[in-house]
Amino acid sequence: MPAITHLQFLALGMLRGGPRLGRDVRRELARHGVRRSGPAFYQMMARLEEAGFASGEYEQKIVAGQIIKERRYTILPAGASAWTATREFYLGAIAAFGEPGRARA
Amino acid sequence: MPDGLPPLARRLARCLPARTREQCFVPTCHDLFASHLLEGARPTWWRRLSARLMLPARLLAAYAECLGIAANDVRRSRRAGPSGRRGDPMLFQDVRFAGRLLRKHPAFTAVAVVVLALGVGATSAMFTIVHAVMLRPLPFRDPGHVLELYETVEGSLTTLSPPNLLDWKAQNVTFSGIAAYDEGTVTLTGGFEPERVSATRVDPELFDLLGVAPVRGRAVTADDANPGGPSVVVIGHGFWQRRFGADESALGRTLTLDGRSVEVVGIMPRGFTFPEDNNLWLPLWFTGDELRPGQRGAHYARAIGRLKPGLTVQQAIDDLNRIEARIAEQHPSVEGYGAWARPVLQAMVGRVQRPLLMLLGAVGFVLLIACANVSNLLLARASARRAEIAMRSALGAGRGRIVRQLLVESLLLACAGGIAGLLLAAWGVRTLQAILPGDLPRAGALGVNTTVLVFTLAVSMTAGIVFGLVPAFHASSGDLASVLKDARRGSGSGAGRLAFQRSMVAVQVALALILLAGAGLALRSFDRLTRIDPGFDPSNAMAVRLSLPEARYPDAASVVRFYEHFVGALRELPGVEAAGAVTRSPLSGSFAGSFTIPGRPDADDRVAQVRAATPGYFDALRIPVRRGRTFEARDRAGAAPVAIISESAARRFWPGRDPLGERLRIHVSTGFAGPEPVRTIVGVAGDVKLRSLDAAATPVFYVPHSQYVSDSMTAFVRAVGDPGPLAPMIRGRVANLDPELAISSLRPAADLVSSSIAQPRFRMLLLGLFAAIALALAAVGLYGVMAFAVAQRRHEIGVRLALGADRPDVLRLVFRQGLVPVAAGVAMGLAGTAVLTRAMSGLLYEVRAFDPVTYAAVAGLLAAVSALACYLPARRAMRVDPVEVFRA
Repeated sequence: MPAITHLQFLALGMLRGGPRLGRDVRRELARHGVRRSGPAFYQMMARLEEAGFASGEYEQKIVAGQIIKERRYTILPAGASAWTATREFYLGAIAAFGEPGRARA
Repeated sequence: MPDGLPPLARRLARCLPARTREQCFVPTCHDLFASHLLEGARPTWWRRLSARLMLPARLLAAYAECLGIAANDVRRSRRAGPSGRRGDPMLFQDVRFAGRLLRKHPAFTAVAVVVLALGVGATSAMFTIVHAVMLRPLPFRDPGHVLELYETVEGSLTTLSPPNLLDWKAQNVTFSGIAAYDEGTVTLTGGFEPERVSATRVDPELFDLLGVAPVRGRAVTADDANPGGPSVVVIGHGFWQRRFGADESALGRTLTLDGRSVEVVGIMPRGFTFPEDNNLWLPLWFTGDELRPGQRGAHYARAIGRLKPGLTVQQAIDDLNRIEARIAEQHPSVEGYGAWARPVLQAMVGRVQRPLLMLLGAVGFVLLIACANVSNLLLARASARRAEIAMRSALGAGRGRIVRQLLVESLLLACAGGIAGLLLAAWGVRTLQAILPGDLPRAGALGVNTTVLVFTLAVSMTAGIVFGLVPAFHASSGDLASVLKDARRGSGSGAGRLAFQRSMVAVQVALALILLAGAGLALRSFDRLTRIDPGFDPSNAMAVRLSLPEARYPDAASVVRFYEHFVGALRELPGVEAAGAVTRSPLSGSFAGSFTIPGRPDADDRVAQVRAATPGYFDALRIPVRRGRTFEARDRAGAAPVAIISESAARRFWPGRDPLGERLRIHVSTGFAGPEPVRTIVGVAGDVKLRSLDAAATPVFYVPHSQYVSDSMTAFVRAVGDPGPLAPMIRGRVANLDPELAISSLRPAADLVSSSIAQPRFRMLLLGLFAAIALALAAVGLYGVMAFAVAQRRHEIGVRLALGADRPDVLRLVFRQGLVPVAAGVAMGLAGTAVLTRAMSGLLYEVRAFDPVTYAAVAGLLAAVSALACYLPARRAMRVDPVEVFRA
């Protein structure tokens, strides 16, 4: 079974394209119909960090004269491996059981 | 602790476990603020609304979720822990069930949350003010032992005379130190434009006495406090940030204060201020002239002292009174003075303590009404759930288990109401700031802080228990058989339950009546205050206050010359009818001195207010001169010394005689002249209110400014019409005469009157607001109970109608049922009002606390609103169709 949840699979998949802000990842997830509150989302990202799948750092910038800080996440090699393994698991499952609506008799 | 977050978020974060805080809350907060700031395309009003309302709401929602996450973490760690302790799964089940129930009945939840938010929000907003003003500790060591010192005369407090102060310092045995200070302002030049800055001259020992040291540099020392010493200044933290941008090199730089260069030698720590809102501290010393025995009658010095450990305030007062007695023996002319002391905080807030506590009590009533209201709502809902509760009981749930379930529901409701109340309080405090009286002490930095958060949490939880307990016990008391019997009849409310609901209505009505009566009394008192004649006409006049720097106006002649030119320039402005200046404007406080009447023996009660005025002052404020003449150009220095006295001075000191031509000698002189000469009375002016509108007129002596020179004056300019357009012209005239002179204040003279009644206005507005909320809540509560009762009695009403009762009978039935608790509430409220409004008696003007007209009016209003609240359910009862009832 995959070591990561579906949501973590999605988040790691987004990070494969390069480091991204947590806010952007959350928004992207919402666009795909996966809405998570701030605390729930960042807790999930913290789990990824604890597992060594991703790393997060605060970056600081000035907007309208005010300093804002945002957390930027980068996928780590272990995370990329976990994502690939999960993808293969799902592909294998599809190959074994068929795609939805085409289940073998 | 996370940085880069606003204070509210930082304070909330402190209360979370580190893991939840760092992993969930902090990144969420940063996310929220980033999203808020990056909403660039939105209109400004939307951004402002978002910052004030939605951002805090989202923050609190995120916080609530983080609390849940933290609780889950704790539960998980307990399960996994070596002790094998488990969390209480039933409790979490109860919370989840309660949450589902509240979501299932959104209308009920919304009404209960709004009612609670009103009660909790109003209470928290009021507590925020009370905490900031009365409870927040002063920013120095052991403030309870630092006393403000006074001399007393004729039972009233006054400032100290410098020679007496020196005696107190030398002879007392109860203080570890006494330090004088002289609060004022200085003109700061060298910046973009001249600026008046608060500055206090202080004894060198003041900082040691307070136990506060500068964070950079040094304090004022004894070497600085003499005429030949270096010119130095210690600056406040806020001033350092504002003026120097928190630059470390501020130390050693010079400031130009009142035309004199002074070196910055110290910076005080953040948050320190004494007196309130002070920016600069300069060394204080008294000149030889100020310390001569003749100045013992001149009371203008202020002082504080630190009590020695283990001594009481009363012991200190007794000690100082012994010194006063010795002074009186040695100097009989100043006999009659005593001593008084009180903690500095009490001195600062003592006069507002009672009104604020009264308002906090009033808002507590609003909270109680809200609790009673929600209690009734819960009881009604519990009644509807009786079948469910009885079934649970029949399936084995004990009474404690059911009570706990219902209490969890009410606590969850209280939490939601508390969060909404907190948001309401944050908004309310900002709104209240706009109407706070300008002279309310320590109200500069109002805001929802940790203490207010804890208070709100405590209030909400207590309210949750208070309004949840009785319905929970009621609901858990039924048995299955009776419930099923009730259900067959279509009735679910027992007599005991109905009685409780009615008693809650009576309590709400009683509390609302007390609040309405308080508001009514405050309104009537305020109305009387606004009708008082202040003795002058402030309409169409502007008041401009100036203080001339001693460095550039060192002698009396230069000061007199400036004010003559200034007043002359004001008179030449277009549309100006009259102009004149006075040392202290009406309704702005006291400057009193003793005096003697040549040819008469000395008397202790010869004290009068002293005002120096220029020609034109009486015309500018339309103060009538009843007899004799006003000041004229001929009353200059060197001419015959003259005075104009007020009517009350004439009545009191020259009773039954014509005071014109009489003589007097004032014992208080200004720093510019020697001993005061004997003056001849040349006129009698009308009485003017000097301290406040509700205080009796005090005797006043007016003397010509040329003969009694003061460098601080308020000029009044009377315009033919609206005085507003004069403001820029007045600024221009000041700049023309002296470009480095800062205007201390420039405002319409009408502001003098309105700011003198700012406190009563504030009390009236708040009491009115609380009373309106109370009335609305009580009416809604009554309506809810009656609507519920009608719904419960629908079957019975149908039967009555079928048996021949006509619709007016039904109307009477419902009204009787509703108005009985209202009548009981009105009776209880009137009794409570008679007792509780006594606390207001000192705050009312020309209105007795027991005012039958007010009582009758508010009782009538309450009865009318209650009748309306009963009428709507009664109308529904009249429309009950017996056929439908029987068919159902």
